[in-house]
Amino acid sequence: MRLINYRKMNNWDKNTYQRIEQALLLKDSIEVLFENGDEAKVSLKSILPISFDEGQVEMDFNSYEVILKNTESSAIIPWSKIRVLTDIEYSRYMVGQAEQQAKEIGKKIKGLRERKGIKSNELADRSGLTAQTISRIERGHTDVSFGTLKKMLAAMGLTLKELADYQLEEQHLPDMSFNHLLRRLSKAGIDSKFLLNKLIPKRIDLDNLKGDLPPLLLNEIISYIKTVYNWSSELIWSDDDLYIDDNASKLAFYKKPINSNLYQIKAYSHYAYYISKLVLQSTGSLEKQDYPEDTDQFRKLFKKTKIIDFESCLSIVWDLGICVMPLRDKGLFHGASWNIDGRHIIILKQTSNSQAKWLFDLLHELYHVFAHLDELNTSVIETEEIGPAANQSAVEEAEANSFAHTVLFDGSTEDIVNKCLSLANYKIENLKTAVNKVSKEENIGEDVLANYLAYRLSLQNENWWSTANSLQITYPDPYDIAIKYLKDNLENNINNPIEANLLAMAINN
Amino acid sequence: MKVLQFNNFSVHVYTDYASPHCHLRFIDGGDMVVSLPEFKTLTGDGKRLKKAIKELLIENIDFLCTKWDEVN
Repeated sequence: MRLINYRKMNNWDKNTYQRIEQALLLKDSIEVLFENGDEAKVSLKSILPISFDEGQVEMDFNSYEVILKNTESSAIIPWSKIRVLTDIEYSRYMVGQAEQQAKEIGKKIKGLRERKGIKSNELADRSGLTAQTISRIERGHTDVSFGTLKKMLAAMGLTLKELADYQLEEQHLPDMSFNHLLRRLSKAGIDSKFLLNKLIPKRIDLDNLKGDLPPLLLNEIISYIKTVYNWSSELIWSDDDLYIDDNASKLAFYKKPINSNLYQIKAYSHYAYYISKLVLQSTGSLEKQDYPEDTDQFRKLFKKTKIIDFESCLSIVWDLGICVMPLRDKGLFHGASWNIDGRHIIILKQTSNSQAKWLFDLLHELYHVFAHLDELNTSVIETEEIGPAANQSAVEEAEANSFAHTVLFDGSTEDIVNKCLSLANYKIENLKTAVNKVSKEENIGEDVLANYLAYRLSLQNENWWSTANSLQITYPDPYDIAIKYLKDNLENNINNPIEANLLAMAINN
Repeated sequence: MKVLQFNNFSVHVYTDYASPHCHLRFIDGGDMVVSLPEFKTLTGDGKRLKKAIKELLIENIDFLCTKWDEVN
């Protein structure tokens, strides 16, 4: 699309303002009558060069010029110079235009230099100009000749013509390239890896297109971004910053990790929130049940004879009408739970494949659902890793951890720890065997118990994590278990193909 | 001072203390002041600066800028 900006017609754009009807030479000035009836008088001193002898001046004129000459030289004065000296409005207008023009040229030159990846010191060396001169030009100072400007451009391998062409391009065509889009999204917290993995269908093979994206494909990518982040195409391509709304994080970020990119956390949280809404839409017939009133009631939902493992817990959570969506992207946040229009959803986000860790996270988030997400449209977003060793500084997080341990150890956490240590004769090398025995006697997952003991020993500066890790159950992958439950509950009722694809991309990691 | 002549207009450059510019004078009447080196319309009917005219000016950009430097 070609945008042409016609200027508003000013008085000085009219021919009658410019054309000279009559001119008279007086003793030390000239008087000019313009076609529109304006009369102007200017002194010879103000329009003639200093070296010009004013004593023997003769004058001639045509429609646009006054010509002053003596025996040695002549000076041609255009109508515009007489107007600048005698019409304050026109003078102000021209000064404003000059400033704007100089700034624009400076900006474009800086842009060209940066596009070429040349530092200003380097350009100074190459062009033989001083760094100050380059800085002055780029800042829009006008006291440089075209000779200087040409030197500067030549040092970048450019000509005045290219400068003019570049400006024409800049003037008419906003940058709608894929690379520009990536830069804008990155500033909003959406990095290219996340975009390619989660927001763009895999069939769009960006690697083979090498940045030369056909318009229809670029439009398709934009439509996915618009759908998730609710931005218009105009906004996406404008110069305005892209902001992510706060719907996803209305209640709480319990802890903001130091040095974390909050834009990225916000962007990912919004994505997870959007996918959560799709999941809730697609599980519309799942009814919310009455939640247990305390830990004992919740424990009673599990079969007494069976060990509490990730799958049995997941099954109960779904039976309560709470959706669980697993995600396996790295970093940013480690879990979330939302109350969206009265329905609850938990996002589990783990890169580990330890069932015990997923179980702990699920119970932790479940506590937030029971205790903190009663109000409509509230959320809890975990920006730090979930686990007994983490999050203890926030009361809500400590409570959620305590709930998970109480469920897992049936309220006898300390007794079980003592039993293990006693059986191991308080020797770390005997602990593995003790954990194996106690877990069977107490009907507790060996992996769960090992993790908790490793945590307790870490408080005494003992590192038992490698043994605990060797006891983890990793098959079947808890992510796959969670995906299976999710898929079993989805009703495939999303008709919008973009939304359906976004959900499919989230599920099929 | 006339520095270029084309079919339907001429280009003039003057000694001036304003920012770099040139005048386009059309044979059917009318004067336009356009900036150098961008050729943006400063004064005059902007609709007259058609693409073909701008291209002619860009072709002669080095000459016009040199002329400006010479007289200013």
